[in-house]
Amino acid sequence: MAQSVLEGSEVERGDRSDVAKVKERTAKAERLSKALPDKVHTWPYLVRLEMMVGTGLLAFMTIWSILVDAPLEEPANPTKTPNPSKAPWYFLGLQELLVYFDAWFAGVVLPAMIIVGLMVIPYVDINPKGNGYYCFKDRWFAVSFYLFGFVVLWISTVIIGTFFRGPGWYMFTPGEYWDVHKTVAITNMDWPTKFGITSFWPAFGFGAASVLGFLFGPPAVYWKLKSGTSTTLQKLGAVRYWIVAFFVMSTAGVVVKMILRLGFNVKNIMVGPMGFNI
Amino acid sequence: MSRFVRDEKRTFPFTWLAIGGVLAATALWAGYAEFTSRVPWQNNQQRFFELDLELARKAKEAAQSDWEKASERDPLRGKLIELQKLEAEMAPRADGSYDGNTEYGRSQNLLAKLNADFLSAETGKTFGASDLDEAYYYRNMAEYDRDHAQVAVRRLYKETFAESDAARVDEPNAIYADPPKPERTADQSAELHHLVSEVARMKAHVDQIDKATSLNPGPEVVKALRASKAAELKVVTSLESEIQHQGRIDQARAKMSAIDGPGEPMVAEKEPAKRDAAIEQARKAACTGREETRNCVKWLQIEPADAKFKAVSLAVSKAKRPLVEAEERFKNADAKAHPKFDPANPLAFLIGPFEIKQTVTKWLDFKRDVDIQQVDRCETCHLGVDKPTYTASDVPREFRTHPRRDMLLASHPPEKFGCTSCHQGQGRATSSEYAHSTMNLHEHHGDERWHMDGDHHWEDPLLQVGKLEKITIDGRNDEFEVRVGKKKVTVKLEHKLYADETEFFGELKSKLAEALQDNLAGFKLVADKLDNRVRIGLEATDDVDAAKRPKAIGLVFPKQELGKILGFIGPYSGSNMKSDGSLTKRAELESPNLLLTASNPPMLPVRAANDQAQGTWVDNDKEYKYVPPRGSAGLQISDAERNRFIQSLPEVESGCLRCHATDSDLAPHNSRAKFIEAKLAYEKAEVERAHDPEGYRKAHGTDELPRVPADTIESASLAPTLDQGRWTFRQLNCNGCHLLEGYENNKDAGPALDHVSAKADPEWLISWIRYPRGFRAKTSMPNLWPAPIDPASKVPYAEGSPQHSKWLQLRADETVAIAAYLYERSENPATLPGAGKAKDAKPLREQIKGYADVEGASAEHGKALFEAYGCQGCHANTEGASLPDSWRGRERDIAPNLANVASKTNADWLAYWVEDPQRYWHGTAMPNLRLSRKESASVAKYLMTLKSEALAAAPVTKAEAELVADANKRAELVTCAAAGGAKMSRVDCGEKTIAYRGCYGCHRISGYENFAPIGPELSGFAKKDTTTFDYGYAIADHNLQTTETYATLKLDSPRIYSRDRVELKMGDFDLSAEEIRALVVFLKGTVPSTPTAPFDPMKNEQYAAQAEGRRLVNDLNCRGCHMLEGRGAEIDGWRAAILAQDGQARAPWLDGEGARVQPEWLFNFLRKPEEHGIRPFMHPEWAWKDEVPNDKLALRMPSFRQLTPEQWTSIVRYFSAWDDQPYPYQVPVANELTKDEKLWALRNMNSDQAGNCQKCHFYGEFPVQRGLEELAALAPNIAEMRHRLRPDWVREWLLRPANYLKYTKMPAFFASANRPKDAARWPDENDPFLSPPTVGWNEAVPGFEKLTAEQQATLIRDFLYTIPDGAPWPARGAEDSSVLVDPAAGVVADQAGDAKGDKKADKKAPKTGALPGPMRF
Repeated sequence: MAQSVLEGSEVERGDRSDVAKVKERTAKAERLSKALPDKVHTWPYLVRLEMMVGTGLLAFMTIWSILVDAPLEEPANPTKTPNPSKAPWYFLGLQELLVYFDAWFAGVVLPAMIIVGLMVIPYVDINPKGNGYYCFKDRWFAVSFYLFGFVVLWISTVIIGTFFRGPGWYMFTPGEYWDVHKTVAITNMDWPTKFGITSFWPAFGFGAASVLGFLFGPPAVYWKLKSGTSTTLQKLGAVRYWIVAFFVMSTAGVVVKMILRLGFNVKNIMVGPMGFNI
Repeated sequence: MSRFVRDEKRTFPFTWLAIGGVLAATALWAGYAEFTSRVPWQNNQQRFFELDLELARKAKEAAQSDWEKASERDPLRGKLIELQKLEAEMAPRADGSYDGNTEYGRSQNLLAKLNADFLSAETGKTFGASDLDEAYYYRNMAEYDRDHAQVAVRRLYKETFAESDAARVDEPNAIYADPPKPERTADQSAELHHLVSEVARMKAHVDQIDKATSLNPGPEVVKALRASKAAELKVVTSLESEIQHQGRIDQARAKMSAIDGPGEPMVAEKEPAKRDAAIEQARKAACTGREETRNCVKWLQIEPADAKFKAVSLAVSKAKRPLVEAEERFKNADAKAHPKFDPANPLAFLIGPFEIKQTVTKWLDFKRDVDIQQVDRCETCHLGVDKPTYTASDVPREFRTHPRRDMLLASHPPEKFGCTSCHQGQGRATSSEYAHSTMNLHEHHGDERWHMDGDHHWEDPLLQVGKLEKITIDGRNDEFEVRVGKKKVTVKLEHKLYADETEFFGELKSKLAEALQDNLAGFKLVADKLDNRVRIGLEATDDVDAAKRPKAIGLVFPKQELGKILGFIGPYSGSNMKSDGSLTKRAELESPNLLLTASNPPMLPVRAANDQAQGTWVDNDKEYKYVPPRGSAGLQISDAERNRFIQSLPEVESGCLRCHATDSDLAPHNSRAKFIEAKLAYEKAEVERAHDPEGYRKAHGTDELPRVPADTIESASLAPTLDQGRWTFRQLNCNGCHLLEGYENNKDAGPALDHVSAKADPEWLISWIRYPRGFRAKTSMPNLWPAPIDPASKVPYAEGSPQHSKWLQLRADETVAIAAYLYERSENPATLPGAGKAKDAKPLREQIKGYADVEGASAEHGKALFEAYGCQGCHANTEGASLPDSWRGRERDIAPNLANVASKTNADWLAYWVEDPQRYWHGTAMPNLRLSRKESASVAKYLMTLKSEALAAAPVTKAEAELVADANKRAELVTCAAAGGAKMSRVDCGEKTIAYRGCYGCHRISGYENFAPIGPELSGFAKKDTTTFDYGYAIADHNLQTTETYATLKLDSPRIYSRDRVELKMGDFDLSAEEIRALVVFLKGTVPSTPTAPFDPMKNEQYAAQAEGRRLVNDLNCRGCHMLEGRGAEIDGWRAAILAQDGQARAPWLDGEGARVQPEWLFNFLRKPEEHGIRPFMHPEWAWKDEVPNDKLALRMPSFRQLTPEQWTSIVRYFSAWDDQPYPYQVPVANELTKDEKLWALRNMNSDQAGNCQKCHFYGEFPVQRGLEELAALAPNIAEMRHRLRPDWVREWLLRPANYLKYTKMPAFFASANRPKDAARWPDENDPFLSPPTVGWNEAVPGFEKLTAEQQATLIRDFLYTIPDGAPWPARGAEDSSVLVDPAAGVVADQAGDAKGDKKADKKAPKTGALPGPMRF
């Protein structure tokens, strides 16, 4: 099996000029295929490697804990709220989202969507190469989307929240003194206001249209263009396609909202009744 | 290319080894870190152990050398030789026998032999007794058989002869009849005699049985009789065996007794001293001829020799005890410093003797909601804090004994309070940097900046002890004078900037050494700072004979600023400060050290920002003088000095405030009673020891004299800066605007303003509101419109600038509006909020018109009254003057300076006011002097002569005055800034402005009763997050944004933090640098946590009541006239001329008042002084009634009618507690005197050869005629005495009055001149100050010739207390028939009878816990 794959790839690349080279590689592959068993036992061959890594990790953690003391502060004082009041570091990504969205959205809807999205994965993942093989080439979409969600969105917001947010939850560049009296001139505007729509219901309609348009417009166009040609899309089917598209666009939407807020002082895209703002 | 190896074949040995090795090394490292680098406190403990070992070694060496020195001198040398000799003679040899050549050895050998003999005899006796017991057992068995046989015989007789021959039935009685007991012979013991008689008895039975058998009673009976005979014989056999053994025992006993010798003779003598001799005598007599017996050898030979040996050995051991103890201490210290390996407990050796010492205290935090436990581990490192022996200045600071341990730690034991309760800091931490987290001033790129050392998260950084840094020494503060013995030397410091304390004290010390080099023999020079107090002086070393040392040292500071820097001059001067500013210290009882300790913390001089510019304080010899107020010139403390000013704040004093929030000051809460008592005990012991060293040692178990604790007066205040801050806070009534828990909002800090038009005219009123200090330099009223300050330069905007003009306009408008409102209300009293419409329809101004126009009133009379009645105790009447010795009056007037009172008010109001101050202003502190209408008018007339120049600081135009005076103009519509620019009448605008400016915080103004204070609350100010303070544009550098800098700048220049859009309202009090320092220290103590019951001094009823009394005494300025706690009588400064003529014409000194008078009397007196006058020379009105001539007027105790009975009670309690007197107090019942004793007392009191008491004193009714003639010489009423004074005190007073009032004219009739004040605490029989009897007193009545002076005084005192009320005093010569001597002659029930009645009543009545039954004195 492995041999044929190797062979096939060499052939497909169309590099037929250096026959000797090909032959050598073929011979090597043959040797390897003889030497390499298909499988080895987990115990002890894998477990001992894991043990080795674990031991090294333990040593590293011990040294670290000797050298660096836990950053403990004074006993909690119920009458004194520290400024900035920060969540534990691993939650700072979520806390950072509070800057851009209302609490119900950043604190409830988005985390729920993350969880639901992760739960959905087995049902929308139709790539058979997902079992035991993790090459980027085979799973470029899944890996890219995951890396975007986790590294770009989650980790970077944690970093921002930890190191860049000071008193008043203002942005502070590294090295800048965290002045509690710092004032920053920010005036944010709602998205419809930018277009001169200020009455409530028209603004709501415009905002809702913008959100829905962003969420469903691009996927629809993509489906229209590609569903005829792409086997993947055909295999996926419309329902699964729309589910995936919804989560992908939502994720992108968070970033878009952040850009709009930071770059264009946009407060909310949609201002709905009863604080139903996005 | 490496060969490919299958996974199964690979084992990774080196990888495993490397990773495993790393892990193992890491584990070891972790363990090592846990026991070394993570326990820095262990290093400290080890250092302490080493130090302790070093000290122990020194102590041991000293003890060793003492021992060696002593053992070369008699008596110890003789004792040692004797001991050696005795040991050689008396020690047994190896085999236990003694040397036969000495008396003692022979006796011991003899005793040994006798003991051996006795033992062998005793063994014989024991064996005999054992055999006897065996025989006795067999006898018992035989006796049992015998008794049965007897019963059988009796039964058979009865059976056989019952019918035939009744007479024979009773025959057995005869058979078994006992013969008479044989006589006991002399050599028979009681036991033996008993046995022998038993044998005889049995044998008699046998004979009688034989006889009965021969009568042939029948075969059956005979058989029984034979059996009985056999049984009786068997008993006899046993008895004979017993007799043999008993014989052995008796023999042994006799032998033992012979060996023992005579028994202890009985001695009838009871007296211990004679009893010993009697016993000895009796023993000798008993032993005559029997010397070689055991007891006699013991009594006559061994015991005396042993006792002698024991005495010598004990004496030597006692002398050696210090050495043994020092060795023991060294051993223990060595074991701690260098633990030895103990195989039984290897763990202890590994871990060492280290331990964490922890205290847990409980506090209520956050306004009593949260109970917090505070953990303290400070003593883990500070091991010497609560031990008395680490006081030497070469002990490292961290291990030194806590300063003033005897006073501070005795009342705050560290095991209960911990350290952080007072010092703050992170008590849990066990590393130096975390425990001591604190704000420090650092140099950083040439700039000064505040920096948090250690844990910057910690909310309670350690409170700082002030540091002296960057001290500039120039012409103003470069020299002082030292007097050692009779020599005076001037110490001159080099002019320069001293960067830190070490440098400064180094210079001080070297200059002192240079100046004093001739006087240093036997002394070590000391110039350092301990407990934030500077010490200068000489510490004795033992090189030189003590007699040759100088006995006193003195310091004089002609340049006051240096005295202030060092703390010798400041709020508290201490008791050893003389009036010329010099201090002296004499060698004390025990310690020859000549150390002068400053009473105040050291402080840096703060020079105004413009000093340098004006060139006044440049290096020259200009004298320091009082700087008049500057009228808000911007920051007074210059940038360059602000930070080190803050750095030198003695913040640690703030820690006291947490529990002592409501105390008035932190001076000791009782007088020197304990010190005096200890000193007396010391003197007594000294006398006793000199008189009879042996007896002294017997009684006390030591040769040493008792210790004398610190004198409380030496450290009159423990936290002077905090006390000053607290006083300033209350005097300026900061809590009128700022709430602070524990400090009441005093709306009577300033006068009531409802009727102000009667008092002041509009012009004065406006100008006063505008700038109070322009009129009166030391007023507490702030300037509410300080000039706006340019944040850039921190000085006010230039005149003519828009900001300045705008401010001037605002000030003009607002002051006029306020004055208009006040005027409107007082002109129309019916419009006063809450006033009844009809009431006071006429303004007060009109009501009192002509009040001062009283016939006969004159300014001259008024002046005399003003000066005589004591007005100057509180009021100065010359410009710029402060009261002479009052530190509290130095910065602020305690009552207005009246130098310019005529410029302010009018005669009518003054007359109305002084006649009864409470009538105009109910809450005033001014007492009622009980002036008549005419006197009030005179005083008013006099005061109207006190005028001054027109006011320059805040000029008022006529037009402005008209706006207020004219009712129509008052009603004009104006734009009101305080109402946000709304249009309203001037009066309404005034109302709004008063509300906006918060005038009602200090003044009672009708309508504002329920308004909230305008300032932010200050409770917990010290713990506020500095990020919540708004520093405006004043402090840009966040490193400088600390609580201290915030408070200092705010107090210095209250509007400094204004922003364009943030308006501040706080008034400018023109605080001096000292006031700011004190207030900042006070504010640093405002923490939100409060003590739980065990820590709260106010939970102690006695303490709380007394604290309240003490506060009142301070607030009411009793010290203006009276001497209290060694300070006061400030009025004397004005009355030097009067006192020169008559030294006793002063307000009585009240030191010792609590021990002098009875509380009940004091209470009644204070409430109504006019009814309980004592001293005729203070009461000219008794003689002259209303027409007292000007030159006869005297000081007058005013009536403080505003005080409640509860407040008076707390003042009375304060007096009691201060003098260590129990409260409540019950007057003891007088001793009953015999008629002769009374007669003796009375005759002596009447005789002009003896007391002649009536020469000065009067009795009963006041003798008006005498009063008119010789008022100054008259003394108090004798009849009143027993209701007023305490009997104990009276006796002391009689013995030497000058001990109590040094100015008194009362002669000392009895005691010798140098009798100390408290000598009478000694019982008469061993009073070393006992004086010879006073000549001329004892002859009055026969039988009293041998009284001592003390007994005489006691008799007089007792007599005084038995005088019945209302009894007439007999004329001279008529004493015999007086009621005072013989109550039967009179009608009045006498005191003795009362006393009996009391006693009976007491027996019946159930005893209350608080009151003990009546006691006799």
